[in-house]
Order: sequence, then structure tokens, then C-alpha cells
Amino acid sequence: MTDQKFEEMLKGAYDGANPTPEQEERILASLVEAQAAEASQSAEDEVAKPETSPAPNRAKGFKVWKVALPLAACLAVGAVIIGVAGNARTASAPVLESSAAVSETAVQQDAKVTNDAQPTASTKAENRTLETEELAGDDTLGLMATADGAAETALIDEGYPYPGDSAYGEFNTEEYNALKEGGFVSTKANPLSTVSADVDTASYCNLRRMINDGSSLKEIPSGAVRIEEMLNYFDYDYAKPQGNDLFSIQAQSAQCPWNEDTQLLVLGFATAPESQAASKGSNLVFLIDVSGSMDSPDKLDLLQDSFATLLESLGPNDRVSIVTYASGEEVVLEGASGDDDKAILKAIYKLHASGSTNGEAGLQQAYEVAQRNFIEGGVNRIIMASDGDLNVGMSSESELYDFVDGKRDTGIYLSVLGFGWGNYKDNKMETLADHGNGSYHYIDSIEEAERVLKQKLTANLVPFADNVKVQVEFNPAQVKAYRLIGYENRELADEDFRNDAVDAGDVGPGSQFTVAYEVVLADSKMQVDEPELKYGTQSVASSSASGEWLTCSMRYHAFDGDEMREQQLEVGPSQSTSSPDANWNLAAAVIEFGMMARDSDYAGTSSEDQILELLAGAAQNEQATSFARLVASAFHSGDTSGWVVDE
Amino acid sequence: MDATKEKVNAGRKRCDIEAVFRRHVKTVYRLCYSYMGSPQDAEDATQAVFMKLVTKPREFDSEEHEKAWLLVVAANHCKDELKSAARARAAEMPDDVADPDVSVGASDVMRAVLALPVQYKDCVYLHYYEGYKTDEIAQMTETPPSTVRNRLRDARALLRAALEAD
Repeated sequence: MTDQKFEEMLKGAYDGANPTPEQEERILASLVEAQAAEASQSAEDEVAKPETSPAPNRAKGFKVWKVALPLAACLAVGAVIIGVAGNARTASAPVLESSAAVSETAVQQDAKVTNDAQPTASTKAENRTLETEELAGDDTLGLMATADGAAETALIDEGYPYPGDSAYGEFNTEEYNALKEGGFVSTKANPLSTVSADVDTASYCNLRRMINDGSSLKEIPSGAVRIEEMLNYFDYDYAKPQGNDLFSIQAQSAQCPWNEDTQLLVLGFATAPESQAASKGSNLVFLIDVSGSMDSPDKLDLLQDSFATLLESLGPNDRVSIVTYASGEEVVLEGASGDDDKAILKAIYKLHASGSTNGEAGLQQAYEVAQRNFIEGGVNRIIMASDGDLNVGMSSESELYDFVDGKRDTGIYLSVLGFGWGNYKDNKMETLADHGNGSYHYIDSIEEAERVLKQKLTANLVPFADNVKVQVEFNPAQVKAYRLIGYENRELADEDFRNDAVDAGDVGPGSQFTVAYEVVLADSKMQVDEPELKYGTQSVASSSASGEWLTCSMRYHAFDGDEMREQQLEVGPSQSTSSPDANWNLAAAVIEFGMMARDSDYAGTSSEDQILELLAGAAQNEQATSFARLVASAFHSGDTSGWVVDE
Repeated sequence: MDATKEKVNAGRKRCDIEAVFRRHVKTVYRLCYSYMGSPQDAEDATQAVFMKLVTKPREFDSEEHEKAWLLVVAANHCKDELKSAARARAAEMPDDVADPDVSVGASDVMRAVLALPVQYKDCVYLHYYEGYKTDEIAQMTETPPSTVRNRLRDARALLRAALEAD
């Protein structure tokens, strides 16, 4: 069928759905009647309040509207989103191959993720289990009706069946690893906090995708919320590094917005942007998942468009290969010159999705191709794109870990791009990137693809600094306790800070990352459980008498001199302020939102209003605006009232 | 026409519910029908949409603005209606009673439209019938343009599959 024919048929169908003249007259009659009643009512009002002149009335009405408009906008977004959420089941049902098995898995996963997570999360898990049980009978009915093609039933049944039904409910087989949220740690017990740097951004984009699809905050699996990745999504106005240092370190502390007894300390790390001209060329292997699960506009189609955008930044020194994998793996293109756009585009757009997902074979093949095209001194990177559902071969996380770990010495980096939803395996994707010395991003739109592929990935294409670790030593004389925010799966053992055999994150030129702590100062009212040490505290170092709160150290392998370097920054009362800067405000807003999304025990007085207030103190740019919109959507996805169009 | 004159005209039209109704009744009704699937429900929905202008009269910058407002209100109203209808049925009806077939008398193509998941319906109607561009639809429905594009692609695939199967 041609496009034209298709559109004509559609138009014809709508033309056949016009109201009859009788219907029109009936509706009009009731409208006119209602208007007459309305008019006599307002006439009575006029008589009752003769002193009110029309002008102030109008002015008042106008003001109310001005105030109501933003609110109504939020509500309308909510209303639209509810539509999406309610119907995601309709959309997802036909995709599912085995309904009973899938929904069972989903329940188990829900229980697994939330139970392991933290005490408060158990309420969430219980609620969900309950809902699922209640729904069990009807679900089968709804699903079968859809599968049989009885779509009218689906329309109504799948529409808005029950309160609490959601896009992320029982038909969802996305996988997230449970993240145990870190609590307050007494500085007497442990003055050191050590983390691996992280420049991933996936969590924020994945969250954005869920919220735009109609999930409310309650429906988001806590394991999907990694606050450090949310923080890293945003651009901060951090200083440039000085001298021999590869990084600039900045610290600012202020009263914590959600907890009156603590300070929020935001540590910012930034590298200088570096021209990529010095590169000896890149050897890029695109490893593309073309299994059946990728057959969707927000997966393979988006992926094809995404990779096409990367071509613009490649030149004759670069080599491009494409390996695809589904049931089997196939080298679609090998060692093409970076300026041979035609061959590359042709190969990319020829891809189509079907079959199971043998990620193992694909990965092996990609490493072999990368090896064959290895550029000494250049960039050698596999860019893997998938929804993460590797269902054939070694598909457990630990096997993947071992495999990718074993390849790290080859000098080939592995970056991972996540696509799609509904069956998204966040855990597998992150494992791969972490152990393959690469970064992990989630792509939900072509705009995000451009951002990641052009800015983030090309920034990370050039080896610059790797094994980047951060260690903060708190001064027990000034700080009673601290809480590391996010970085749950990035924490390192303190003694591994100077153990260079222990791997940590890589950071490219022009990158930033942010680490935040909630700090309990010595004079805080907050009660901190302190260990009773039989043999007393460790000998008190003389510098603890200084007013310093903490020392932030970082250690990394710098590629320019092929050496390990360390940098330090002392933080004390002088970095504490009552009017924090835009960077701090942005970080605080993102953290609050992340804590609310993961239903954190430490969210304190966090609220939508507070987040928006903090955002108002951040730099006003597109990122901040779209974040504010996301916050509004997330908090109002349950509302169904309110109408609005743009004024 | 200069801006002031247009405003004045718009102000006058505000009260003239009959004129507004005649201008847009078909547009609104068709959208409602594509959600509700029965002439009776579409009529009720259409009436409810215009009734909002009667109980809370408001000004529009232009007829285009007026139409966009009505379309968004109609889509939202229908989504709400479907939701409360489904809730009421879930509460009242035993599981083994079949749902009424709402689309008796509809053409094959309209049946395919009616079978679309709810989130696609406004996009499909606005784009394929009313000719709005994806960016305009994004603005009207407060949805990211990429989402609108994806929905249109999905919807087109679903519709084509349904039509070609017949």
C-alpha cells in the first residue's frame, strides 16, 4: 500500500465519522440552553453585588488565570501522561511472547529489587505484589483479548483498568540491580570514603524516558535511580584545571535543603577540553543488537539514526566496522574509512531486527574485528548498542564481567548505549561498560543520541585519564558523620585508593563529574551512633586541630605522561556559604529529585516545591528548563483534571 | 485585519457559542468518535467539550487557537471518560461478561483506528486528518517532539498491519 493510499483511507475513515445533523442540533440546543441559564445566573450575581465594577472583576480573573496556567500546564501533562501509562499495557502486550511467564518474572524481579534495597522500599514492594495478585485474574483476560485481536476490548479494558496500574507494572521485564543506599557513617569509625569516578549518564535519561511514558515517581524501580549518573547528566560551570593538573577540584558546602542538621557538600571535578586533532585516528567497531527485541522505532530505528550522526565527526584516519548479532553474529562492514559515509550509511540502514540475542558471540566477534583493525596509539573502541537482553550464550552478569574483564588488557575500550524500554536490562548494560573501561549512556531520543555520540563519546574517545579515584578523609574533630550520596556501586575499599591494580573509572577531556556528601558537623544536633572503642580512637593527628573539615584527594593515571598523579583540596568553613552558587543549587535539586524517585530514607523535607526552588537558583538554561518540566510531570502523573493548551 | 479588530471580534465571538460550535463541531466530534467508538458516546463527549466554553467562557487569539484548544480539551476529556468507564465496569461487572462491541457499524479502517492504543489517537487524528505538523502536536499535547514522531511511526505501523491483514 502506498503512503498516499494509506493516508487517503485514513482520511476517508474519519470523514465517515461525522455527526449526524440531528446530533448537531441536539448538542447545540443543550449548549444554548445552558448558556441562557448561565446568563441569568450571572445577571443575578450582578444584582447581588452592584458595587463590583466589571473592570476589577476582569483583572482579578486574569490574575487568577496567570497563576493557574503553570499549574494547569502541569496537570495537563499529567493527564496526557496518564493516558500513556494506562495504555502501555496495550502497547506491550502483543510484544510479549509468553504472558504468564513474563508477568511472573516481573513480579519476582520487583520483589527482588525492592526487598534487597532498603527498609522503606519494602512498602513499595508489598504494594506492588498486592496489586499484582489482585489483578491476576483480569490480566489474563485482557491479554488474551488483545492477542486474539479483539481490539475493541483492549481499548477499554487496557485503557485505564485499575487505579495504580502502570507502564512499569506487571508486564514489565526491565531489570535493575538493587542498590543499597548508603547511610550516615561515623567519622570515628571510618574517616575515609573512597569512590571510583563515574561519567555515565544513563540513569537520568532512563528515568526521563519512564516519566515521559507516564510513570509516577512511585512506579520507578529504586534500582534504576543512580544519583551520581543523574548529577553527571548536567553541565556545571566548573573551573578549568591549572598547571600540570588534569583536573580542577571545587568544593562548596551549604545548609542541606532537606535536613536542617546537616550540610550539603558538593565536590566538582572537571577536565580541560582538548582538541582531538592529535588523535592518530579511531578504530570504531559498532556492535549492534539486531535481535527481535530491537524491532521498534525507539530501538533499531533510533539507533540507526544515532550512528549516522556520529559519521559527521569521522575522517579518513578513522576505521569503522559494524558487527551485528542476533541468533548469530555477522561482520557487516570491516575497516571502512571514516570518510566513506556512503558505504557506512548503507550498511547501517540495511540492518533489520529478528531472532534471539546471542550477545556473547557478538562481543567476541567485535573484539576480534577491533583487534584486526587495531590502531597503535590511537583510539580503539567498541560501541555496543542494545536493549541489554542477551538471552543466549553467557548471559549471567558474572560471566559477562569475566569476559569483558579479560579483554581489558587488549587496549580496546567498550562503551555501551542503551535503547528501548519494557525489556530493558540496565544491570547487564552497566556491568558491561564498567568492566570494559567504557562509559554507559541511555538513548531515548535523537537529540540525546547527538549529545552522547558527539559530545560525550567523542570526548571519551581519546584516552586521557583512567583509573580515576576520589578519596575524602574527614576530620573527626570537625565532622561527626557523613553520608555519600549515590555512587552505591562505585564505592571502593579505602586501601584500594593507592592500589593501582584496582580498576576505576575513565574520564575523557572536557568531562565533569560531581560527588556529594551530607556532612554532620561537630556542633550539629543530630545524634550519630558512634562505636565504643575499647582501645580508644586512632592516635589523634596534629592536623585535626586545624579547622579543616576534610581533605579531598584524587588519584589517576594520566595518559600524557603515562604516570600516576594525585591532587588534593582541603575543605573547611571557608568553602561553606549561606548563599550557594548555581552549581550547588543544581546539584541539590538533582539529588532531591533522585532521592524522591528512589524513595530514599534520607529524603527528609524534600518536596517538589523545594526542588523547583533550588532549580530557580541554578543556571537558567535548556537543561534546567527541561529538568523542571520533568519534575512537574513526575509529580503530577497521577492528576487527571485540568485542561490547557499553550497560550 | 489589524490586531485590535481581531481581538474585538474574538471577544464578541466568545459569547456566540453557536458560531463556535458550527465552526468546530465536526472536528471535535470526529476526534471524540475515534476515542469512544460509538455515536452516542461521541455525542456526549462533544457536548461536554463545548459545554466547557459555556460554563467558563474564554477568549482566543484566533480561530486556529480556538480549534487547538477544543481539540486538546476533547482528547483529554475522552481519555478521562474511558478511564472512569473502565473503572466503573471493573467494579460492577463480573469477569465473564463480554464487553460490549462499541464499534458496530464502523468501517474497517475506522475499526483499526479504534483499536489503536489511546496514546496514539490524538497524534493520528491531528496529523493525518487535521494536518498538524509533529512540532505543533508536540506543543499542543505538551509531549516531546521525538515522542510524537515515535508515536506516529508506531501508529502507522499498527494501522498498516491491521489494514493489510484484511
